[in-house]
Amino acid sequence: MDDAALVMRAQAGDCSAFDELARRHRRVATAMAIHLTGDVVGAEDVVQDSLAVAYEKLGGLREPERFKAWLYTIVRRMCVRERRLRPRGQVALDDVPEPAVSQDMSPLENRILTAMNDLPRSYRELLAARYIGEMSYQEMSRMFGVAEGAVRVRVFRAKQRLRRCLECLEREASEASRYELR
Amino acid sequence: MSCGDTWGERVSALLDGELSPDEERDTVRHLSTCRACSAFRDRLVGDRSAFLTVLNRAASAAATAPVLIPRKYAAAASARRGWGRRESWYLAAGLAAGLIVGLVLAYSSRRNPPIDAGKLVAASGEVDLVNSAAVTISVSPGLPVRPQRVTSFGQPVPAWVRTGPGGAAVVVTADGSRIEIAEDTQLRFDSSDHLTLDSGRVSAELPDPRPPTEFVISTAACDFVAVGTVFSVISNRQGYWLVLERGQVLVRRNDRELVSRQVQTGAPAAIYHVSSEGRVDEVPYSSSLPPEVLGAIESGGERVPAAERLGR
Repeated sequence: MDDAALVMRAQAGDCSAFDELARRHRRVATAMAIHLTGDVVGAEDVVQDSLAVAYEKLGGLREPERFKAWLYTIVRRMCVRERRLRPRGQVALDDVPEPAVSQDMSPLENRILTAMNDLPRSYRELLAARYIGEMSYQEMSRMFGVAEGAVRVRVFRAKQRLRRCLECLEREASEASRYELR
Repeated sequence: MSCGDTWGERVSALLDGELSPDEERDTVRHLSTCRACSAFRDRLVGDRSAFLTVLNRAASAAATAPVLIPRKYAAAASARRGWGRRESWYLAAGLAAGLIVGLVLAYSSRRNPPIDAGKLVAASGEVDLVNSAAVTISVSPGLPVRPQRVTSFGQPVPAWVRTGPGGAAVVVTADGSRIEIAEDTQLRFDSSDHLTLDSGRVSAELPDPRPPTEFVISTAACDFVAVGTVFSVISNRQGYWLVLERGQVLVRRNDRELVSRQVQTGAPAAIYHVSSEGRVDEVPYSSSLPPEVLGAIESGGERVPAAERLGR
């Protein structure tokens, strides 16, 4: 059953249909939240809250086939809210983000993680929508309120920026290893 | 990029499947002749793949818990429904559906009795409750508990209790069984006397005398069936563990009894290891046991004195 049919069933009061929608989109929504907040633990809470908001507002969704884009818009807004509400300088123990570098990941993956965290928010959002949400430029143009042509340019710039961050980190890594060899 | 942003932008859009047929043809032709753009395309493909690998790994680890919907949203959603013409149709449809569901539930409950209301009597740290229609929340005031999140999906069973790092919860079921849920545990209440342990540690102290029904803790490997007992079941990387402090427990797999053991009051605790294939071994007490198992023995001190449990 496609998303639109599930949305219509959920709007008619079928809770298991919403359950299925949540199950389908949760992992992608979590990946998006991790990317946008840079916090693995906090991302889970953001997604839970986003699903709760989606559940509450589902009745107002006029185009059921747009559920995915709609849910990701909620996740994106909740991430912005989460970042805004996060106290500066002092954070609760529960809110301490996961370390940016993980022992389980390859050096390349760790560099990607660091580069992602270094990107400006607008670029993070574009890459999250394109890479994680697999949204089309048309869907992104609706989500961000800009023309499709502008989405194409901005997505390119975001990818380019990620590439530059990575090149920078790769250079630093190779210089560090050369220094260690001496 | 030596060819400039125009080609770079086209290469990026090509990978996203967003070019018109004409642009696509031109870009593919350009890539076949331009090394710089071709290398740029390969790097973008590599970046995307690594980007998704990193996030998927993190997301898969984070998105394993059940979906929990806070009660306040559910309340707001249900309050909103039922107003206006369109909503009144939904309300009528909902009532009809509710009647049908009620009849179905009433019929099914005759075969599969619902969970009797129990009580979450204590909790600390991070505790999530799902569908706690089956569990009355009455946490002692002053305990440092993060707000519980309660689903409102309306399904009668199962009820989940999940504790995070540093969290713990004690649930007393309607028949007086006391279920202690240690940190980092995920437990499902299939009914008042049937729990399913996904991960972590759960200890049960059952009323004495027990009702004639069995009390079962199921795991992926086997069922632990108790008859008038104080015991703990632990799931860790090495498999499953049973710490039997008092009473009788059967270890059962596919309706076949693997072990039946009774520990009298005053006798030392019995410790069993069950592999994921269902092999059961009795293990002597030693300080090299996994910390979760030692923790179960130590935390049982309030229920059964340590000297009695360890035969010292």
